[in-house]
Amino acid sequence: MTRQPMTDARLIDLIEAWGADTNAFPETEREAASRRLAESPETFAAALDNARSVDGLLSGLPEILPSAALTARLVESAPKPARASRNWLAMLPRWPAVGAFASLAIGLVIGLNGIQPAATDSSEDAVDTLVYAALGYDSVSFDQETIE
Amino acid sequence: MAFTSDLDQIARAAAGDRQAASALVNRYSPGVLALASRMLSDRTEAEDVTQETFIRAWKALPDWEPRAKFSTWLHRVALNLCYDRLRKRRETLMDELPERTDPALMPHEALDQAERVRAVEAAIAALPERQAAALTLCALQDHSQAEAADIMEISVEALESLLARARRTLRTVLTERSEA
Repeated sequence: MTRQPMTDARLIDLIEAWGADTNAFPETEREAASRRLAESPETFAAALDNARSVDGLLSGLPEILPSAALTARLVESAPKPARASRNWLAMLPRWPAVGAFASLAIGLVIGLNGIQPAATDSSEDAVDTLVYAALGYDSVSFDQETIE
Repeated sequence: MAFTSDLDQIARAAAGDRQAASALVNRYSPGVLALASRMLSDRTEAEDVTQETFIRAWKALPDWEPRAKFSTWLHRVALNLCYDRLRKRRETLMDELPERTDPALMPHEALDQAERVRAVEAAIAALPERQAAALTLCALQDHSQAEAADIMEISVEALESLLARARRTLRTVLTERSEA
């Protein structure tokens, strides 16, 4: 933002907005403003006086600082290390895996020790009955008596 | 320099580094609190705004992209929270007179330092909110013109106009008060 040349009206605008200290002026206009002020100080005396009165009032305001309690609350609300939350999350997927393994193991134990032999016996009985019926015998016991 | 340092501390604070979070709080909470205090003229509300601003900052840290300076972003969040609170105040007090003190109506008495401070603070708080924000950011805090304009999401020219009006109003009000 380059403004050329520095007019009196523009310089008064700058003083009214940014105050009496030319260091507060926009950088691009600072040098030209300082030069014009040095050339004709009386032209801007009233504007500078008004600006200085406001500058003085503003600079007299006390600094506002956070209390130790507020600072502590702000730090306390900051993100916590990820490790603390990862422990909880890491535990969650393990339970379904443990459950699935337990179910598999229980199924295998029951299947090998209980259900399979029972199913074999009953299926053998059924097959025997069918075979003897097909041969014209009434039952297995008749067959055993004939053999004896 | 501060920008680079911010990026490093933001990354560490996002990972839960307490020292980095503490450094960010120490660096920026005074400015945020001062802005909110000048805007709201109420310490408790200003502290609430400061806390809400930092809570939002902490949430934003993991996805933080350095498109803007952290300081600018933080002050913008605080300023918008102040605008929200001032809007709610206006809605609540729609049928009532605002409780802001008009320094020009104070009784005759010499302006000692404490009274002058109170009068100036009241006069700033009585300014239209955008003028109060411009004055606070530029005249009371060390923000550059570009940064103040960025925080307020306006051009530097618009900022200059707000500042000029703010200073003019302040001078008129305080002159009337001292002459009363």
